Amino acid sequence: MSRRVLVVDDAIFMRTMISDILKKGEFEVCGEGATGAEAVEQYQKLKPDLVIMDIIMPDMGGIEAVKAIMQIDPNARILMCSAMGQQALVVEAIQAGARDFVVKPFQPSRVLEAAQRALK
Amino acid sequence: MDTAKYINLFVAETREHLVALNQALLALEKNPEDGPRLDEIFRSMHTVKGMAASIGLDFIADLTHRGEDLLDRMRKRQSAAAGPEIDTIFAVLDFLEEAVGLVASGQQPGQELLQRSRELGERIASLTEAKESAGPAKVSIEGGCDFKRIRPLMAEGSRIYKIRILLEQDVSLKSARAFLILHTLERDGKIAYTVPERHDLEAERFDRGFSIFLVSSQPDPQTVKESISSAEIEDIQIEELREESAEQALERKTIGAFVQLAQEKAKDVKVSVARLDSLMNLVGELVVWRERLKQLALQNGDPSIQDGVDKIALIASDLQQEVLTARLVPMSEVLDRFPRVVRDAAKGLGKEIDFQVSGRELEMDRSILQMLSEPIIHLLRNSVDHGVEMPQQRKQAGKSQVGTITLSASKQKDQVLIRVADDGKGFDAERIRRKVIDNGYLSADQASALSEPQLYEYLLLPGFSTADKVSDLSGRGVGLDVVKRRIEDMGGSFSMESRPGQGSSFSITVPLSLAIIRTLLISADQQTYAVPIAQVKETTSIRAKSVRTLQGRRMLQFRNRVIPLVSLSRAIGLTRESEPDEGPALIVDRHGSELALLFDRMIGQQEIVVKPLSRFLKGQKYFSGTTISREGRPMLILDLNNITL
Repeated sequence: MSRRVLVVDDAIFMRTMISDILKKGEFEVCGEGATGAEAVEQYQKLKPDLVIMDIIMPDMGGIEAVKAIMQIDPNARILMCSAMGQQALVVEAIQAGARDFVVKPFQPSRVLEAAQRALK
Repeated sequence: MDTAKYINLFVAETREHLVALNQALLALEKNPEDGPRLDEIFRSMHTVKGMAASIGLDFIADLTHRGEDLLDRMRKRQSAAAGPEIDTIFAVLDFLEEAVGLVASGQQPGQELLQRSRELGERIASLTEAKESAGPAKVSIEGGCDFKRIRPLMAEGSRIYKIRILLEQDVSLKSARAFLILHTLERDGKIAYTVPERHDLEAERFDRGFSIFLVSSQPDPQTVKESISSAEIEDIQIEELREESAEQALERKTIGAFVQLAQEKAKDVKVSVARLDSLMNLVGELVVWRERLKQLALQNGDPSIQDGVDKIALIASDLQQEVLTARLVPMSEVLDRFPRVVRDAAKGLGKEIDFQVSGRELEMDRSILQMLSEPIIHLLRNSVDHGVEMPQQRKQAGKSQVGTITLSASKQKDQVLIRVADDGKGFDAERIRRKVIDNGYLSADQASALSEPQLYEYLLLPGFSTADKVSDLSGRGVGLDVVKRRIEDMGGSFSMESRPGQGSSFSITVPLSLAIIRTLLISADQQTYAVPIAQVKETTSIRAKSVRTLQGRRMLQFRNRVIPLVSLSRAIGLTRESEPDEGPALIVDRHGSELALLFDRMIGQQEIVVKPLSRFLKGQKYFSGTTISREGRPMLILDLNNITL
């Protein structure tokens, strides 16, 4: 059974790319969001197996979203996307409950590997 | 714990490592880019350290640990593999040699030795620390286990894991990666500490690797490993640690070290030379009695006894061969020490020398090889000291600035020829001539009549030396005369050649195996002699018509050559009224010139056990030893190398 993933990023380009990568790895993209607020809203509605979410987004950033989602579901599995130089934010996200992170530019294999690990 | 046994093993193994270390270090000095060589040196040093620590030789363990530090810096290119660094490692090796000797003799290290060990340690520290402050701060990632920081976290059933993480080369956001790992581990356990410390990890003050000491209730290390494995990690190693008493720790390390040692060397057993010698003696006796038994069985004539004796004779031969082979060691055991000797001697004098060794793989009897060591060292020092000129002089003489000394070993029948040759200035014939006159050996007239080779012979006289002042090297009161005598005592021969301006060479010929030799038994004037077959070129029968007298000397027309002919008795200094013209003869080759020796009767071949000459016969140059005949009577062994006409 394919796992259901919620992809959250403010750039359509990034969402498309992540979705394409995930589809190759037998994941089902069950929903998308462009902001932290949308992420929380979609999580509640879809109850996905995994969330892949950018750290920096308008209207509630990634870290706030992680905290909010963890409130709803302490077992939520969240994978953060980050750019180089966002070390402190990544650490914060991990403290908030994120399971792992991938660094842009993405290597498809890395994304899939991290997604699979986060679901274990 | 049987420490004595371990000490013997430690001494034997360490000595092997020291030989290898010296050799490898010389190679590294020549080629500082030789990474695998450096690794080899590091591993050897590390092994010695481990062994020393295991048996409580702390002063050796400490010093080798420091040595290892320096070598590690060389590996990481934080220190140069040259100059003072290499010299320091050499100094460590020298110290270890001395310390191991002390350990072997069962003595405790004295204050002076410990002091020197500390000084050497400081010398290394000064090399490593000076560089440390210059470069970026590096923190050692290998930490011992600090139980003081672990104990407070321990609870019933909790385990201690040491987890070693190596991140990938091109890891992005490495401190975040490290943080994630620590964070994940903290879900099911407590982190006692990390190496480097956690704040260093978070501040990205580490390279790619770090260790975590985790206290966890998880009984399966694999599960722990699984929980943190993620992208960008190249390797995770996890081991469970147990707090143990000091004795337990020592026992574990010792057993571990020696079990490992035993596994590595499972095919070899170390046997003391003394034990081999006594085995050799027993086999020697057995061989003598085998011969005697053969004789008796022959006289008795009973075929069943004959059969049994033949079988035993066969087994005895095999046994003898086995023991002889067990005594054989490759010449490298001794030869490999010499590059270091030459290097040090040359360095001390400011000379540049390329030293070449060949024949390392040749095997020969252990005891002969050991006896050869000192004479060869002497010859090498002699060549460095008196042979090879200073670079400036060589340049002026139109030679390469770098002198060459070669040491070669080669097998010739059952003898081995060892040559030490240099391309230096050769013997100074005029200086020898002056010395011959000054010391009152000859008058000026007599001396001026001597040819150069004749003059060189004087170098072999006891106490005759041409060096003007005693040097640290060869001028230790031991001259070429002593080398010659040593070699001859071993049943070997020594010769030398020299060409002014082109160099000198020294040749040593010794039997490959000292203890049992194949001989021809011959009789001359009612006396039976054993002649080592190796010294005989061939045997022949002579008729009067092929003997001529030329210039008062009797010569034999042999094949298409004419060679001097003399009776064996006369050749070994016995007087006889007339010289025979017919009979069996030995053709021998003495240093390139042939000689025919007439004798009365050929008795046969026999393998004999060489016993040293009795005191009564010592100094008698025609005999190299005695043996016992099949009939149980003593016999003399001839040394044809020393026959003169």
